[in-house]
Amino acid sequence: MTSQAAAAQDAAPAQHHGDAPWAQPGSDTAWEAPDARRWLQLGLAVIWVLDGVLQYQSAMFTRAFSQMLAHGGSGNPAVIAGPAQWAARLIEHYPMSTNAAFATIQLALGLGIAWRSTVRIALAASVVWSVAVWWLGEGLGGVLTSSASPVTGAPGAVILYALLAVLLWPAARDHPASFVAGRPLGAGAARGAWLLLWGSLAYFTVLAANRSAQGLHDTVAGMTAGEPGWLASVNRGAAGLLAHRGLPAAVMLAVLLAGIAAGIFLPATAARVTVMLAVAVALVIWVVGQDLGAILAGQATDVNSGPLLVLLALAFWPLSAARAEGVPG
Amino acid sequence: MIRPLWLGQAFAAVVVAVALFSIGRLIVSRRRGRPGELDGDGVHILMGVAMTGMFVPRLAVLPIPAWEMIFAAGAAWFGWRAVQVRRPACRGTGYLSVSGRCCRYPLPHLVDCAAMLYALWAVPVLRSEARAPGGMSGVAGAAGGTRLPALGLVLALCICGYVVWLGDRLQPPAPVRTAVAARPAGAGPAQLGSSPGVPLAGRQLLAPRLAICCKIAMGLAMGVMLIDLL
Repeated sequence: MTSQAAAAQDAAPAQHHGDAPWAQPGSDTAWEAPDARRWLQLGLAVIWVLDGVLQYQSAMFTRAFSQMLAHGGSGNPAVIAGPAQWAARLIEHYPMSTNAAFATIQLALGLGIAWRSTVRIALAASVVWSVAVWWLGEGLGGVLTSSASPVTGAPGAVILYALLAVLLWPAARDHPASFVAGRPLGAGAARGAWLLLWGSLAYFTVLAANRSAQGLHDTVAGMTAGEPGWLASVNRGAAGLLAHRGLPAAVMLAVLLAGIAAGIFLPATAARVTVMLAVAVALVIWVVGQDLGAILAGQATDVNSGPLLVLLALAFWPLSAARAEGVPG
Repeated sequence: MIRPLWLGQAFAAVVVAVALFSIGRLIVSRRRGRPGELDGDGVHILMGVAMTGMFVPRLAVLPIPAWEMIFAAGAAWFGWRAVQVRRPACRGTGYLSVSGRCCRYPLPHLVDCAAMLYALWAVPVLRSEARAPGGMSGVAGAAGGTRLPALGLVLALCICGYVVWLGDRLQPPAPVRTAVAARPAGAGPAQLGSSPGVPLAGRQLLAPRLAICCKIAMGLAMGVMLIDLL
């Protein structure tokens, strides 16, 4: 036994008896408190579990789900749209079994990430699953069409799961980085991914469809169907502010998103401001533009991109030197 | 909109299995003199019976007002326990402190009871049908008529978080010496479940890991039920 181990064992009686639900006097188990990366992994697991639960909604066992998927492939090149249409037809023919399988897979991914013994295999599987769904289910989030908008979830919520899985990967040997997302690939690669993501959001914002006079207004106003009164009121209020101001609103949002994209390269204090700004923007988009993922309308298959952008931003929060050293997650 | 029959039956089977496990755990732990979670297992039994009737209406055994009173009482009990375990006198002694038969984490059970109350209250169609003899109808198909759907979403989020919280702590058993020795040098001290030489205040809970799996299963079933209400 190492001296550290002996010290830890000696210190044990001074601690309370474990936070594990079964941990109690007489239990022979140890449980290590989560570090920053583990907390973010657990956040990702919660979203996967919620996605699985959403997929079990009654509406998903009908043809409405396959029609939703077929719509996602429209406007894409044939190489993207063809397989997406094929997947939609398959689900249309077997709505019960395919949807039950999808829901169960998503639950399994969430629980797999939550359970420490399977976190790596679950994260790896989530990357494969996310990429497949991004292509076959979401038509690459519409990024190859002229209709992609960060307000509605571009570049596709599901690809953000894959990005998070990579950035939160518990590598055997971490790179030195002041933020969690920089540990598996290195700070430079992680910041590059951030720049690409938020830069692409800025680009999508000024696409012709989004910068038209009524573009953002129509997007926000179109979300009210099926939503509770208070959320529909928020939509109507925001749509009123955006009416006939599509161009200046789109330019302002694009500048903000571009600033967030570049801000992660600034020193720690400014990077923290950037991360806070990113969280705020993601939350505003999630509430106003995505209506909490349209969960309350009873038709959502996922939470949309807002919470994932928040989780991603938190992974770039510059930690203090001591916490950045971190314990393995 | 109607949930597929087989899906409702599958979830009903899950919650019935959890309820049966809880009954068995209570009986066996009492016979063997092991510490138990009378309140935790008890609420799982009640939830299992109530949710079975919500997933498969013909299996409903009590009318909605009766269940509402039961889960209101449960919420009051776990609320009181939640206050009690936070008192300094109770800390460090775990769930064995009160009677030796109470769960250590009352807050999740409080949320469970609140979620059951919400599910019973939120959908007007359930209440109207409850006036007729025979109890409850299936919860699916409530879209558009649900009261306070945001509250249902918050409760579902809490339950999903609890499921993940349990999953994070569900680990294979390992001897203390092995677990401590396997820790990397320089890592902070682990929070140990026990250590040799500590006087045992009681014996280990019966089937603790299986109990956690049952809590996860019950949480998932509850989450599905709540989200389907929205």
